[in-house]
Amino acid sequence: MAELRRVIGSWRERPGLWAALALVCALHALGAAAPLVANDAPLWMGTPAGWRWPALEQLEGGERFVLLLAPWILAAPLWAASRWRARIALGWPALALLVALLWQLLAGPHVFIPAGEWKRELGGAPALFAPIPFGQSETNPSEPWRPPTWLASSKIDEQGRYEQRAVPSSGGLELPASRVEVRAGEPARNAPLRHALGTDAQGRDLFARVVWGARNSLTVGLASALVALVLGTLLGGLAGWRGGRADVLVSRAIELVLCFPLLFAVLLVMSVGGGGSAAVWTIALVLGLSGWTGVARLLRAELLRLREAEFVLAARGLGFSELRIVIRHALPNALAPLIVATSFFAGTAMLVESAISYLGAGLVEPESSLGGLVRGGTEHAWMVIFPGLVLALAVVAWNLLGEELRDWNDPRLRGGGA
Amino acid sequence: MSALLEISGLCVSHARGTQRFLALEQVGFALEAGEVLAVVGESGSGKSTLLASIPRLFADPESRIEAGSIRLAGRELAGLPEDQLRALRGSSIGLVFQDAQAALNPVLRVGMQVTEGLSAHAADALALLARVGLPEPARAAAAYPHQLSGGMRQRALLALALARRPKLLLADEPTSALDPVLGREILALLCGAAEREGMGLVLVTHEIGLALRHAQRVAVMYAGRIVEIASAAELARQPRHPYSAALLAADPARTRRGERFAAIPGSAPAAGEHRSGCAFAPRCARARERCTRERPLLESGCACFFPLEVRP
Ligand SMILES: Nc1ncnc2c1ncn2[C@@H]1O[C@H](COP(=O)(O)OP(=O)(O)O)[C@@H](O)[C@H]1O
Ligand code: SF4
Ligand SMILES: [Mg+2]
Repeated sequence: MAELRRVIGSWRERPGLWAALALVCALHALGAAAPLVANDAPLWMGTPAGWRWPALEQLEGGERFVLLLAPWILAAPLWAASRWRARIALGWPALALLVALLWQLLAGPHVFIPAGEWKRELGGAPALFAPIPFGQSETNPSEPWRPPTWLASSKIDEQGRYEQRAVPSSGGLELPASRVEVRAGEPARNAPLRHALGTDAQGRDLFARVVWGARNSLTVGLASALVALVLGTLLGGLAGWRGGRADVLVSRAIELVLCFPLLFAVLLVMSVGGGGSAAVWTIALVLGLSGWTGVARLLRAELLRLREAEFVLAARGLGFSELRIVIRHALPNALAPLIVATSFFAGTAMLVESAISYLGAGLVEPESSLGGLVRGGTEHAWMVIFPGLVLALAVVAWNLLGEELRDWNDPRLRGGGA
Repeated sequence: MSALLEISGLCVSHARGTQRFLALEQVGFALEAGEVLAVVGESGSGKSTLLASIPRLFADPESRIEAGSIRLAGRELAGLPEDQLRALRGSSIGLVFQDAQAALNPVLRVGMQVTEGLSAHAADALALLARVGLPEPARAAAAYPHQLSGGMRQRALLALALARRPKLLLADEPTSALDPVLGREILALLCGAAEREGMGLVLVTHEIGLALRHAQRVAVMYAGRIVEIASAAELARQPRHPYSAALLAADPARTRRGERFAAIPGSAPAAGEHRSGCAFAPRCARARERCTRERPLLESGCACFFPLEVRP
């Protein structure tokens, strides 16, 4: 309890930082927990043969691990300010990995479950569904192009006709003629939250697709930023600390990579054959491989300055090894620009991924990303606005976090006494 | 038994552009354990270069030892490979820098810096900080350097150097960034610690008053050479080298009431300025023809052809 009060106290000191961190973490936790947030398979159901957990059973090994990380990500603003952050930061992922391995061992590999199957088979069996009881690829042909159901214009009568005769923003669509098929676990026909963000041409729920699309976009952003950070730190560190030939080599490499247009690089790789189920990781890797230059340039400049610093000389005077001096003494002083560059890159990478998806070279249907959703929804305002808003929110959140972290990293800007 | 530190014939050169020039020429002295040796001289006379050459820790990697020998407890350092020398830094040779603000890492807590790299049983930050007279060691340990006052920072830096109990402590103007009262306190602490623990201390300062008050022996440097080395008492009573005498006369603290405080006329030679004869000759009132022709060597503690007379 006292610890909780302490954590809240530290939030009060830097509300901006914690708000930005909470926003980024909430978005990423949502992405990591997508299978529990939006799913056509029930989370739990009681069949005569026993209990089943379809939403979990169809997860692959990696997805299980990511799902176990979701609470850790969500709670990051809480534990990052607590005294046990070091233990939680490493302990939880280790535990999650262990649980995921045990899970794999005890429950075996995942079961492939076709979309919508559960809902049709369920009948009257008791079942518990995710808050959004639709899957990203689940179609319901009785509800194509349905606007968000909290709009008056989206109300549909028993026969499936729009009560207002035309959807204002639809540009005079053909009206659905069949009755709306409400399946097990789904909200009623005209319930305000039946399709809170509307549906697309195949009757896929847009909210579910935004959740899963955001998961992919955020993955691309985070993973490519990590690749850029690791690569940029290694190469920029080498150039800045060693100087000489290493510096010349790395600097040339940076120029070379900068000359190569990023978008073109990704399009090239995707067309050569990076698509398929691993497309998210291919895009992230290519973006990271071309995005490390920003991090490297900044770190190089910082280290060139820091290696002359008196405290580095003092650390040498204490007999520390060169590696230790770089990692423990120089790097923490160069962290601010690294953090900012990395966070900004995470935002940029999401935008570039959107551009790629917008050009149609991104993920393969039914997988999608926020950019892909915007592209697929140009016919209707609601299909552009909602994924676009979430994309903007994610990019802004990452940029805000970068700026707040930069201020926090500099103890001279850190408020208060010891 | 050999002395703790024995330096002889030390020549060190710095790079300037593509040129090299000697910043130290034929410097030599010996230091016993538990002894405090002050090195005084105007700025640019090579004091920092002398200190840096002992652990071979030059600010500029181009700087190098050209000749001479540096023996620490009988072990030759001048030609020692870098990794062996590194093992001596910190553990055998402690350094105290002038500007604690710059010498402490701004983003690491003071307690962490003091104990870094120490074995677990020696790594008691509070005890180490209390030893250098920090009033609230717990608060200081948790603080970042910028949160401490100048005096506290200098004490923390001292704790860093003392933590590994080196045999030899090198302090380069450790108090010139502080106000005089604080500076005296820190110097007393430094010299006290050296005496208590039997460490040798080389204390660089440009204030001869401080040197005479705190050191047992004083070496006076001019243009990269030691021009006089004597016990503090002797030097205070009767300097023999004209430059030492001028330094003493220019020390405002020693000027008696009514007496005029005498600035040294002229200025020190620029680095690398080639000269024959005695480097001090252009400013020396006692200079004669021989002084511009021949170079005086350090003999029985004084490098001058026409030293001031020792009063009987
Ligand atoms: N890294 C360096 N590169 C070139 N010249 C230097 C360097 N360090 C010192 N010098 C020169 O060497 C001379 C001695 O400097 P220094 O040892 O710092 O004197 P002090 O500490 O007595 O002021 C000065 O003339 C200075 O300009
Ligand atoms: S050698 Fe000559 S010039 Fe040099 S200090 Fe002595 S008297 Fe002066
Ligand atoms: Mg100096």
